[in-house]
Amino acid sequence: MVVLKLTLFFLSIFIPGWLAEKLWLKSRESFLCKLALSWGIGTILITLELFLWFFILRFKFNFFIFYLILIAQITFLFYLIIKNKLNFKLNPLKLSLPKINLGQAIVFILILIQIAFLLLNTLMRPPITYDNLAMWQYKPKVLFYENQINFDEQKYAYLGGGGHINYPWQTPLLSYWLYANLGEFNDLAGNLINLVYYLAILIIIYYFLRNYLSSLISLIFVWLFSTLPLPFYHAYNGYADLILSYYLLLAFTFLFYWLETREKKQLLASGVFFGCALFVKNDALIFAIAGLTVILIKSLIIDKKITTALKAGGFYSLAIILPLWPWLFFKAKYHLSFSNVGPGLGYHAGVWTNIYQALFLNNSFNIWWFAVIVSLLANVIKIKKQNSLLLGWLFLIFCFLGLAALYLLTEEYRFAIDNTALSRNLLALIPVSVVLTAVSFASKAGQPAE
Amino acid sequence: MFLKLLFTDLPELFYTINLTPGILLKVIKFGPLTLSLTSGIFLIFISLIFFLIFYLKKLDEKKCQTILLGLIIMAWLPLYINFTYNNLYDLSENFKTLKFSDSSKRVLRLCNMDSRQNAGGVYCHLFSFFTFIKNNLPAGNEVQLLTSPGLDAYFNYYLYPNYKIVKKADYVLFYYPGGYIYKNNILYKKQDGKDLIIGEYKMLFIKNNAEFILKK
Repeated sequence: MVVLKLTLFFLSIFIPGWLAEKLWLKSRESFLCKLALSWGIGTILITLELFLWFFILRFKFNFFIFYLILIAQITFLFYLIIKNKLNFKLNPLKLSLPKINLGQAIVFILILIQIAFLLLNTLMRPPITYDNLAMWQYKPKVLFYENQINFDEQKYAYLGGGGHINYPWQTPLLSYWLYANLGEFNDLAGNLINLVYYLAILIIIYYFLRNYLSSLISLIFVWLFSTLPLPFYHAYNGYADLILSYYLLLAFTFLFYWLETREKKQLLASGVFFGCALFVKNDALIFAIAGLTVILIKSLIIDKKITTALKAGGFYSLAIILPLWPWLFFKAKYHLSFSNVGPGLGYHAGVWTNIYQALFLNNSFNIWWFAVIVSLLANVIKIKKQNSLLLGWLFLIFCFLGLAALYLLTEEYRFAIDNTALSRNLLALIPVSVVLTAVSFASKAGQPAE
Repeated sequence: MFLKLLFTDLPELFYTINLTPGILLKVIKFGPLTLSLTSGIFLIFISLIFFLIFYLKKLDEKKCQTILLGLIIMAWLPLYINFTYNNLYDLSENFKTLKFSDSSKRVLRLCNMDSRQNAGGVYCHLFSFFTFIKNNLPAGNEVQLLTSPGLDAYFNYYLYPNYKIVKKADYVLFYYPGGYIYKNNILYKKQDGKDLIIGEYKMLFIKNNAEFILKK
């Protein structure tokens, strides 16, 4: 029975996600990549609808009525697809590994072993870490038992309860949707959500890299990511940082495509995914601003066109708001800020040590950020010559600078000093750093190596 | 020594979620340099030398990059070996709990982290205290919590929806709160070296002298 309920939960996300992807992105990627995209789109659709239901309309939850709406939505998406004459014929499954060579097979097996380790941890280790209980699982638990959001300021469950009522709701609502489908509060099952996001990240990294690198090299970089301990640990511990890194990765890949092709569709997708990231964590604001800066540099400095800058910047900003407006409206209405601390600027020099430690952990074999630096230095001439690659790296650098400024100059510094937030913030940037490091090794961005 | 480091089990701790797991508890140094700095600087140094040789001799760029990638993978191997070793350790730990109920898995995970971090058992004893509360205090009551800040989230999470934790309530859950003393039916708060009286409370149920339930 649990398996059936879980199947229903996943179908309720993948089906609308798949249809929306078909209508909107129309990607020509493989089945697996479409599936990874569908997961991200589907979870946003569901959580936005739940947000409207609970926070804007202030309804008490009714499982059957919500499913009726979901079925109506799926039917409508089907209708649009048929009307637009989009067929459902899938590309031949690129997964059908007929010409796989020994090297690819070995790396693929190594990745599968990592996934097997992860799966067992997911099923065997119930949530126990502090913030997961205080924030990400507490809110869905309260919502599950109360069936509605409490708008009485005097009540302990005001606006969902939990530590920070200004935190976005994508992650708690997705967990809630799982428990609503299961008909019970089961936080061990909740571990599955991050596992799927993790797998989706692996798939997206691979298919993005395949545009520029050979299958073997792409797999090697996926393997490198899969062996990074921090994302691996987050993949079965229910925090929102890994989910943020998924949307940031998508936003970045579409931004990169836009830098290469200048297609409006890519910019729209990038903006929308930055918006989705902002519905996951407030920290995404820094990354969205970094994205806007890159767009303005491209238009103003490289293309030297003010009108293009205004158009692209405006279009991108509107795209960000598209999935975010209910949450922004709610934030404004209830005076919820982006930050957890009060205003106040000041230079906190001690944070440099924490930044250094977060990047280059002293007591560890982890050399990821050194590898990123090596890739940057070794390919600096090529990067300078290729605008998309240069701007891609600038995006990563701006994100770093934004985070550094946040912790060095604002009251947020205390979360860097106590080592509770900085490494997790950097986790969001790891998938982007993986694809940038890898693409820098490509013979030329935009041309496959093979 | 290097081999010993490679095959060191690094179990999860409370801060693992915030820092890279695989961090060694003891600071390992090679002269003035720490482990990661040594590995990282070595990687950058070797990579730059290779890059310079290939660049100056105008050798094939693709070949150069293949070697660089090879170097990164080589430098990656210690982390991979150590991480895999840890995962195998976790695997055996997971297999042992295969038939455990969810709540037993939860207790075991928390107790393991507690003992590894020498937390003194305050995390590990939580679940037995929750059971103690549920066995003695009727569900639906509002309760006040006196405990250390690192434990409040566990109370909020696991006692919900049976009990509602509020700032002031007739029932007080007393669980290893630093800075509070209960003696002769009086609850005191230590402040600036003095014992401030909070109020008069009756001992309702006692598990031990640091875990009990009071009633106003």
